[in-house]
Amino acid sequence: MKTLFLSLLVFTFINIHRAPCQESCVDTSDIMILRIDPKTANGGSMSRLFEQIDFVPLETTKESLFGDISQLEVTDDEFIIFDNDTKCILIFDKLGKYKNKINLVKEVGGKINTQDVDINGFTLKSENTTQLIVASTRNKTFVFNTKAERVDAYERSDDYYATQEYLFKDLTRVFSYYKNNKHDDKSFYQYVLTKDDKTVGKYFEIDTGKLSKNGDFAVGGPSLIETDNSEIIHAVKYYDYNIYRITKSGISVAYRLVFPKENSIPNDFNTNNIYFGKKIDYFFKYPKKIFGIGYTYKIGNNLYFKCGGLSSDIRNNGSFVYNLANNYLISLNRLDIDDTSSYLPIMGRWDNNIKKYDGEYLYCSLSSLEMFNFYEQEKDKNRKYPVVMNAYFKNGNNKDNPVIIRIKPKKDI
Amino acid sequence: MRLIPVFIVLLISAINYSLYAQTKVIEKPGVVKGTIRDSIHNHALKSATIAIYKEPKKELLAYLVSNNLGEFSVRNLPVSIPLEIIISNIGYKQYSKIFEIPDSSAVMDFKTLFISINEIEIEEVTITIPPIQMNGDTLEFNAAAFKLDSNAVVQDLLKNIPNITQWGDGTITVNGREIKKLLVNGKEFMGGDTKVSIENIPKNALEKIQVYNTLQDSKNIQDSILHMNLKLKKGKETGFFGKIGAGRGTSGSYEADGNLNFFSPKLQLSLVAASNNINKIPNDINTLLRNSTYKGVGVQLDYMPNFKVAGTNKPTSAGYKLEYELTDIVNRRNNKNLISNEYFFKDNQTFQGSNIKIITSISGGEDTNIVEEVLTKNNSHTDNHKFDLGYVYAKDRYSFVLSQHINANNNISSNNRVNSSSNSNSELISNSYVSTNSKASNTSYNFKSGFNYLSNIWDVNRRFSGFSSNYAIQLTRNRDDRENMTNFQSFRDTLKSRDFNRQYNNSSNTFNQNINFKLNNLLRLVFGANNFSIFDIDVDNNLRINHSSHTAIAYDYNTASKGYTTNDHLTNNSFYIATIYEPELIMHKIITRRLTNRFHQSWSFVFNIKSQFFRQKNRSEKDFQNINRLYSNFLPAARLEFSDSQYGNYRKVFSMNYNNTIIAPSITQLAPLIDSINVYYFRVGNFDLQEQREESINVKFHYSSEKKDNFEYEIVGRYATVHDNMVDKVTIDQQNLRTVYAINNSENYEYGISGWVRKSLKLKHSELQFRYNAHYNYSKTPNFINDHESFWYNNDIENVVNIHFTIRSNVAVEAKQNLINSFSKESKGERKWTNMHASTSLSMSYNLTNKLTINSNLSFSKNTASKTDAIHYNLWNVSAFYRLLKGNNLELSFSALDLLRQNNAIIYHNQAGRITTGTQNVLKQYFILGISYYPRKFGR
Repeated sequence: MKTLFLSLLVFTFINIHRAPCQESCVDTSDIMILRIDPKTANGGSMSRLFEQIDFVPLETTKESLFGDISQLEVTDDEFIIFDNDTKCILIFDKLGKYKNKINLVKEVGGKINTQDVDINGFTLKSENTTQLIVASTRNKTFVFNTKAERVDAYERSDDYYATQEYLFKDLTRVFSYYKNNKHDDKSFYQYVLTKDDKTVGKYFEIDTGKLSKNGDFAVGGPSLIETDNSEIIHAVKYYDYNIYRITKSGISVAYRLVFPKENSIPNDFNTNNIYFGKKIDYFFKYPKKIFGIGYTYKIGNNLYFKCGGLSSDIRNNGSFVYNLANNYLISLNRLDIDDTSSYLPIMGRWDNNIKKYDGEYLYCSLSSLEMFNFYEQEKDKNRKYPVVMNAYFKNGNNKDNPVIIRIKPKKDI
Repeated sequence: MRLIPVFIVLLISAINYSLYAQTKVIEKPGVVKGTIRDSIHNHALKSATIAIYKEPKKELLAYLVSNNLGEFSVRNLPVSIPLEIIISNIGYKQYSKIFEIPDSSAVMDFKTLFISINEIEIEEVTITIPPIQMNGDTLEFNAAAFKLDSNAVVQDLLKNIPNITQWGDGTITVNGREIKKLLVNGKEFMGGDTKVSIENIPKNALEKIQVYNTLQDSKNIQDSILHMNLKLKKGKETGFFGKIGAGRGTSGSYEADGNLNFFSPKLQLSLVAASNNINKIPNDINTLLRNSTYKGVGVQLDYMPNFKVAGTNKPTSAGYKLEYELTDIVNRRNNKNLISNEYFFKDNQTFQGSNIKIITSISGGEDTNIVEEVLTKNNSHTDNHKFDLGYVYAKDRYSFVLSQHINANNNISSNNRVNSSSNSNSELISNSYVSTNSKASNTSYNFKSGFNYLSNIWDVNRRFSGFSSNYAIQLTRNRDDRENMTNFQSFRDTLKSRDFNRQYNNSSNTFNQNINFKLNNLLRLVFGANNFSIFDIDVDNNLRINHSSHTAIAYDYNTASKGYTTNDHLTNNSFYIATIYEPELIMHKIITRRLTNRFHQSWSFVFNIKSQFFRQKNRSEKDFQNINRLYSNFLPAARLEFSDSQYGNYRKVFSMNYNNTIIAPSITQLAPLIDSINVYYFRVGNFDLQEQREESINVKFHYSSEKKDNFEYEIVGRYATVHDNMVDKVTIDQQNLRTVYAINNSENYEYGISGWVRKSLKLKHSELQFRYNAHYNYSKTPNFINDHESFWYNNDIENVVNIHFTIRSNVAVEAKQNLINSFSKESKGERKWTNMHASTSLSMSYNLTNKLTINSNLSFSKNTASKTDAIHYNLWNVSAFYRLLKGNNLELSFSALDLLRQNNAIIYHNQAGRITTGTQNVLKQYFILGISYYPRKFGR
């Protein structure tokens, strides 16, 4: 008995000391604190924030009809869209003309119900000069070209897993949601940095235990968020108000967002056992609490981000831009339409947000239902809309495909 | 029919009124517009409330919320008179300004109005409460902003809110969408009946009406269920309300009723009592509560007494109902910890008399028709006690239910029946006189328990999806002591004339058990969450074991010994066990297709593979009744449902059900103990009788508009046939004595189609509701009399049109037209039967003053049937109510019922060539004067 007790104690001791050794340390030496009160966020004109706004209605045909833009990727010539309603990847040209689509329900096969296809997005990979679209189910990976032709399909190996990767100039790679069973350390990490096939940093081990299956609320968006500096990537975590900076040398906390108490989760939310397995219930009980942040694009002195919450206050007023130079907070949901936006809205209700930043433009979208409702509301004012939108309002209806909105942001306010 | 002109007049009045209202609107062309912005943070204020009042009395003229650019535009306002605009937004200082719309331009443009955040909460005390506001996603109507009579109730407030419609059937819609649940302070109120809440809670106790969506899919914002919550003012969560009333009228008529209801955040208690001799028969506490609400100041059509119940009744009842929340966890959805208890006592003395004629058509015999004239009189005295105790616990994914129900009945009745039978030539062939006195009692104890577990839906990899299990027992004890004196006289064969004087002491005890276990998604459990997704299977097992023991003792009066001697033939002890086991596999699959903000379609397929093993065992002292039979049947069922929700346009649901049900023959049908006292009716057993199986297909289509036009319709179709249907084969002798035994026959079917459509128009000061119901049924039924087989083909058609019109809170008019047609034809011969019932009614309620209401209900009815004369009768009831005291707590009423003295209850039906016509006794004209007091206090 005494031996057993001793060995347990030793085991515990080893574990306690091994844990910090497993993960690399996050640098917290240079954190900028941003105080965010959604209620008092400012409005303003579109022209103050944006240089140019273009509208691209996506062509609606029987073949191209889809539900909502769950993921948007932008190449030199195309918009590539993942629609979770139909589980299709649709390719449109930059003028919104439909080119082709990949029907993942057909590709996967054997699923009667569209929502049974366990694909929720895709990754875009550049190989030589061609772009490849990669979509994976739990067991299989499919690779397509941008003509929607399947170029490869293979069984996924349990040995290695990662959702997204990014390559720094010095060939350091960063992976998100990474697991490698061939390594000694088979743990699941949110971020891993490698160079020359050697792991140089491991951050935020993810609990894969029983309670981890109870689900989490996440804001969504890319797990490796591009900024206007190709050597800096942003990252966020569940139930965490920090914006992490990933560089080739490791991860540091760049910004810490502080919300009013009524919107903030307790400090011990991720460590106190009373919340384990009950986090979803907590947000249903306290809907005003913000469960996380995402889409944290830094463009010049402006930091764009979105807050996730269940209350309508946050869902209708949760997308912001924070000017880091003069600590000025603007709500994207409170911007006034003006000449820059051709007197059209750029942001709808309910969780709508910027879907992509390609280093030059921000992209968001509005459903035709919202666009046509707005058009009807403003009909008496005889607004002068862009030619493309005039044609859209004249020939289309509120059941058409969404409209992509391309925004050129100013580097400073 | 006769009142069709009245319908037209009504419609024209409605249209005229509407045009008049619109004309009045055109006379007030003033427009107020502007844009509202936050003065500090420089943004448009969406969903701010703009209210326009008429000075100096601050009469609310119009209100609306600003659009997504902070803009507003209010039309139809008066020009050149002082008005006040008040702009409110939660968390902001209120803006108000007195102004006039200039006559010249008729437009008042406020341009941009800046309002600022209210930093000091206490300032809100002095503000004017806006009539409507958006609080997050919740649409709130503030009661204080609507100035109504001090005695108005929530219902009166609902009528004054243009966005809300209350339908004749009790449904409430907000902007055309139906409220699925009405809560008070987040909980069900006094049993959850909407009528009890809105007709009792004073408008002045209400802080606000909250309307909110319970979102099902956040991506499809229009796909949600609407709830309404009545939020009481602080301090008004505790209180009581009720009614104590009494009335006395002509012909000895009387009524008295009372109820007192207490409520607090944890406790709800109702005490009720009622007694009358005017056929108001309450069967439960909820009915009593529904029928004695305080009501407000508006008109009500449902104040009319139900005057068409057959027979006369003298019911007396009393009871209580209690609900207690053990923990106050109202903020958590699906959590419950509730004890409920109810006791209800009912005593009723009934007198029913009828005079009927039954014509039985006989093919091929000497007589083509047998005509029976039957006179019955029945006096009955029943008392009933019900006691329920229940406990519900539900937390997160678990729920546990325990309930017990005790029921005790005692009945003493005496029945006289005189039957005279004649042949086609109107020659009397037999008659009988039967007098029965009985004393019966019945006691039952029911216990039910259930446990339900659903696994965590957030765990996408879960294998186990949950289960439910239920166990129920029922114990009953019955006793029936009867004495029967029968005198039968045959005019064709006097040897067959008989007299009986027989007594019965029958008793029985039953013990029934039911156990059920259902396991959800078996394939997911076996193969894992993602490995097999074509369909899944639930496994259901149901076992019922029913034991019953019967003791029957019969005595005959022996004229020689002048005493009763045991009737050995009818005296018997028997024991019956029915064991029914039903294993079932339920294959199910749901296929969905959606496009965000456009449509959501789903196909649901359910196939039930079910077997039933029915063991029927009877042990009796009579050897021929010792039965041991097994019925094994495969009972497949299927359900297909398609729903198509096109957001903002309509929702269509199509469903189709296929079903099979079994009815096993009873011991009475297989091997009855023949009692010779039933002189006209001998049931003979048939051991070859098989179980019957009904096979049916039902189809239903429902359409509801999601636009604000309140348009909805439904069509239902049905086809059914009974395989091996147990039908009676009848042999009628010359004295009209019938020997009956059951046989199996499959030559039958029925099909039918029914539907309804409803539509409402909400005009500025009035509302028009229209509803049409139609029903058609066609059936083929076999008929076996004296070895002749024939079939009757029956057509039944029913059409009902209902128009309901209300003007403000002053006048309510309802016109109803009902037309029922039946037509039957026999396969052999030329025999046909038709029956038509038409009624037209016009109801009106008019508030002469704030305190005085007059109601009138006039109906014209006409019945025609083959071989009988047409019957016309008209019914006119008038009542007046006068309210006294400051709180309208005292009510004097006067009702004049059946002013034309023509009330009637008519019996008409054709059962496979057996045509019954006649009348029953009903209440006739009376006048009654009543007084009621409504004790009420909301708040400590």
